[in-house]
Amino acid sequence: MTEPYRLTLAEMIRRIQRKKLSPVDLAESLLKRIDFLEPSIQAWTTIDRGKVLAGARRDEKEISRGRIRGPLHGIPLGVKDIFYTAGLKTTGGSKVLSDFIPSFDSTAVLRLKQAGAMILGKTATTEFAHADPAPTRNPWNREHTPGGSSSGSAAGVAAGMCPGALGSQTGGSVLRPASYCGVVGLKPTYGRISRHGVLPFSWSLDHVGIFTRTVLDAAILLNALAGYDPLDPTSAREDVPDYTRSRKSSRAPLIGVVEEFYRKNAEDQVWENTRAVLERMKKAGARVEIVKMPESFAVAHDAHRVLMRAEGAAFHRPLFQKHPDLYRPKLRELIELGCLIPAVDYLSAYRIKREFRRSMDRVMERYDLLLTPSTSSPAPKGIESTGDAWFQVPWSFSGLPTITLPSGLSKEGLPLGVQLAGKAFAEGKLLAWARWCEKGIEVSLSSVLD
Amino acid sequence: MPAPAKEETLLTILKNSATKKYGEDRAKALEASLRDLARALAVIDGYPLEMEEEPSFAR
Repeated sequence: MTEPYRLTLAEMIRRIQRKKLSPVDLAESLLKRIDFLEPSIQAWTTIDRGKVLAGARRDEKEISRGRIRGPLHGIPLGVKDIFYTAGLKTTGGSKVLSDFIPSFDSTAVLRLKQAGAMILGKTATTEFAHADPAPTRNPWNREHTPGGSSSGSAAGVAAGMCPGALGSQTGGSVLRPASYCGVVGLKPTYGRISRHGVLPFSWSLDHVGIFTRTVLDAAILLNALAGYDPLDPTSAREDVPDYTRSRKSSRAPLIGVVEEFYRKNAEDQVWENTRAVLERMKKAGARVEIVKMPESFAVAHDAHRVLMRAEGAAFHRPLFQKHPDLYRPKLRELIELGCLIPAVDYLSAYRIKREFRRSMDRVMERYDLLLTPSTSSPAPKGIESTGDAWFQVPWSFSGLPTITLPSGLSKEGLPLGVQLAGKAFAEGKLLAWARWCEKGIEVSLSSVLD
Repeated sequence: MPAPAKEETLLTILKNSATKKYGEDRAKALEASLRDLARALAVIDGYPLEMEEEPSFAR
């Protein structure tokens, strides 16, 4: 019989609800997997073993009596250590908050719990979700970074320590680590998932995201997480469909390939992999065009950098003034630079952001999907850096939804991925097309689970 | 002002501000990043934004 940790989230749910899988067996299997791999991967900052096992026993009793609390009943999940978890340490990957125990759950965590999930533990993050790395290593090759900032969530899901995890993305912190670790990473539209109770980095750019091993699993978690939250002023009131049942149109998709910027900045082997994916998509019936990006695309990276530095500095300045010695070098530098940015330039960057979004909404009217490589290279060697966020920045800046799918292995045997972008608040369509692409790409990167 | 000249002017301003705020040694250590910031600010400054009566920042 398949070890429970190897199952997809959808399969775990199916078996638990049919009483073919005990939540206790599942929790024990995941904890055993963590015991086995954690010393070399270091994906977690806190594991609440006692609470997880007690919760699994309670879930088992409830389910045996036919009481299913929600679609995720009995499922243990990982949570990036910047999400508030009531009674469970939330350090932000920083010495500044090393003993901080929140008194309430972030809305995202609360919604997972309301759907029946339990929190397996907190996953490692770069310091305050910026660039000073976590100790986490890539499950595919321990000498390589798993990416960041959601390092532990990506590595934990890839290694079979949990079937899904929460992350966050301001630049490239969900899709980049997901791609480096060979898993699915979803960043929904800005405002789709509440950020209440998530340590902020940059208010206008922060998104909550999801890590899983399949697109269907990402849809299952988005079902639990999406929706308006009055506690988050940027939360959207858009309708929330059942993402597991979203349908693509019956015709073949029109895929727009973004060559501008991506072609020249991708390693040859990365671009070759993307071309191979496109060939498969064409064979499956897709039409493919090169996209003409709007003028504001050329300044998106610079404007993003200015916004992120200014807003990051605005949030951190009071804490930094109080604890300068507890901040690590990269975040310290960002705060110092951010404090020098003139207000007029900050506002110009914000106006460019709005113009870029409007222009991208117009571009998206023509296409079902836009496609790019997920990263410029496979996961770089070393863990001093988490790689670069360039390939995600335009999508974090525009707020449009994106998803990365594993698309093969590099010559070094490390995962590669393709990034798909969809229309604002059309995650249902994006996920449906992503499932179509997942099937067409026919790549399973499950060997790391062995 | 041409972009390279604008970038140099912005770099001088940023270096002066960094020296006043963080001291000469720290400003020197930040020089490469200050140049990167000056370049980004010059790019933003050169981008032709349309006139708006009042940007709706809530949207």
